Amino acid sequence: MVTPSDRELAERARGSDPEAAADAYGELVRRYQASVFNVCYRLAGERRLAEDLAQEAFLRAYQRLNTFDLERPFGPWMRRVAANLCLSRLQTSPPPTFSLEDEHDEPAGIEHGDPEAALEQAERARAVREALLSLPPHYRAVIELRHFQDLSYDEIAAALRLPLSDVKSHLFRARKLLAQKLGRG
Amino acid sequence: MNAEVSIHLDDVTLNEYLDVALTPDRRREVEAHLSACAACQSRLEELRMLFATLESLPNVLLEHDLSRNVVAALKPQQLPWPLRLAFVTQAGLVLLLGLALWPTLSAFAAPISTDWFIGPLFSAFVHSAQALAAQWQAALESARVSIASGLDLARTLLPASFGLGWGMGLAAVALLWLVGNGLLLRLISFHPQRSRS
Repeated sequence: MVTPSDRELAERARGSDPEAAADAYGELVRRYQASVFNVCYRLAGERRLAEDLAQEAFLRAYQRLNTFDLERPFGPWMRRVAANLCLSRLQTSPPPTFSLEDEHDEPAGIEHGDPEAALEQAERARAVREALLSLPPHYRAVIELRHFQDLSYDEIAAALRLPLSDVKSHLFRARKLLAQKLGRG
Repeated sequence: MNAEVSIHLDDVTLNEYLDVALTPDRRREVEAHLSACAACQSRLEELRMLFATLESLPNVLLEHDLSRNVVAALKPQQLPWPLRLAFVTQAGLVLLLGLALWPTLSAFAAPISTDWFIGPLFSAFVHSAQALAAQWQAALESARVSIASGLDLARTLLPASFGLGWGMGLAAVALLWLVGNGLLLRLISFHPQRSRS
């Protein structure tokens, strides 16, 4: 059986049969839930909240599926929707405290046989996450879109509906603050 | 230090250089400066390290499948079959009760006059409805006779409790109605809960 492409699934998800549409969209969710969750986790800093935000982002994206350009890849569009949702949620009701748990980072890049290296990487990741979470939400959002989603300045401006000058100033200030927090400034 | 190098690159330029956002001409100028200025090279390297640190941040594992809740929220909700059965039974019983009580109710409703407060047009409509109801009553009378004979049989089985039987019947229908509606309302207000798989 041939695995349907994202485009085929998105077309089915736009269809008139609600059962088939939901099933097709469910497959898209399965494909992208990990990356969308990570967007939300980097921005929200709390696992439970990130899961709720990711779920909400998928539901919001489904409502806007007709605005999705089928010629473009689904994943980046979905992650932009998630980043936007997180930003608006964090700006209206920021979580009271950020408590970074001992996260189970995916083992990519970790030497399995070297617990010391793994520990060091975990510590470094924790420090980066804490530094990210210390930023104001709109700074966090531009860092997310530039560094983790690889968007250009113009694309970030379009995604966040910000003037280009604001995107640049947010990004450069955010980097400066991060460098200070991480002891590089 | 020559004149070109004495004016260092600003932070904006260094950021834009690494973000590949400079025009080709400006990029060449910046590269020319960097090749001759150790201070700017060092600042650029700091910034590059920050980029690398951010981008090496590992992903966190998602521990739960979100697709189930998303799909459940999108699919049109269907009543489970016991609830559907309860709903149909409830509706059927209420219909039967209405049929059984119809002669009594219509006897109460027939003498009501609406002329004095509603007006002749609406009154004519009510009279037509009452006439239609009378036809229904006649049609139902035969059914009622059959039901009554059935009830007579029941009365012989429960001779002292005919009134009690009616009361219990009413109470049972009311209870079924309330329970059925309660279940339906609960289902409508149901929000897919976080399911830990």
